[in-house]
Amino acid sequence: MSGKYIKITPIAETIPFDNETNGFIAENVQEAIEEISNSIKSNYLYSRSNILIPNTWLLNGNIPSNVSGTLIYTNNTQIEKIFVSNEIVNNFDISIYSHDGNNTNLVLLGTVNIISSKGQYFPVSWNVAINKQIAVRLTSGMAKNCIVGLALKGTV
Amino acid sequence: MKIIKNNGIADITIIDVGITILAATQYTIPSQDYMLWASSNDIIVYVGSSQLIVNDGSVDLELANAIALIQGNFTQKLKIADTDGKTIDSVLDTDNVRRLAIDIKGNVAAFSGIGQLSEKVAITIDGEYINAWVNIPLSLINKIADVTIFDQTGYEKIEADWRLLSNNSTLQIRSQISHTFTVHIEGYYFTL
Repeated sequence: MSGKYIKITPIAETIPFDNETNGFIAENVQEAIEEISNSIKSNYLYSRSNILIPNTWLLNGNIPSNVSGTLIYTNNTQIEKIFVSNEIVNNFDISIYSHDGNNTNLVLLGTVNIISSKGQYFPVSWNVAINKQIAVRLTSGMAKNCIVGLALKGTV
Repeated sequence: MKIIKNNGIADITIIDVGITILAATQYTIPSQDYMLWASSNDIIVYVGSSQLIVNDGSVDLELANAIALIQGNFTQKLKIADTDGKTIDSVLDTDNVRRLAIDIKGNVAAFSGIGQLSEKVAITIDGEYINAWVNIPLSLINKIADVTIFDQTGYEKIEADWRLLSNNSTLQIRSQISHTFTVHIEGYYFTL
């Protein structure tokens, strides 16, 4: 049996890429690979020990996040998920803000409601501009030894 | 304990510690946050303007003590009162030695050495008292800790018999010759 060997040298740019269900912008393989290469995903944690009363800012490291938040250094940054845990089963609200540092120009990005739980996560799509800082606040209810995580994605 | 009171009618946000204290409420600073509050400038401003009050768990503190408590270098002064309840504000400085005598009242489980007293008693033993145990009268000490016997001048130490009775509250000495002694007694005065 004999056959014919055909060498194919595909060009990624010419191969279509389905972006309908995966969040990609790219429409061909070349762009999709570059999109992956240029994208950054990161998680940030904010916490505060003991009982948290309403309007308590969570700490970013050891500093209240309204004073020094997490600086956004990526383009097209979006908060994708918020995950919250605390010691007691309780109802409380966690609000995410952007600001310019030291409590200046605080803008509410959104709020999630923890209901009768020690831990919950929330898919969100909140955009944050580059060079803004992120702060996290317990805005109502009460929590104890609370940790809030944010999953962010952006591009360089 | 470090408690911040907001007795006003408006909520107060202390920005640099990230805490809002609602009107007419108080907030107990968690010990984990002591260092955060110690470095806060905002709390100093609010306490300085009397918008917030600092309490140590017992009393509201005046400004200097309030700031000292927040910043972690506050030590409460104890006030000493006499038996009438009058506070002693100063201690007389005599012989360039600052002294304060304190009577300890109540059940004393262990004595820490405060309030130690000393007495000197001159006594002559002669006649029928020779070779007998003689009580040494004490004016204040009722718990004897140490006894030293000197000669009449009070400077030359003498070996003489002495004993303590009645749970160290009574001192007796005995001499086989006629002699005048100076007895130094150290001890304490207890009233229960």
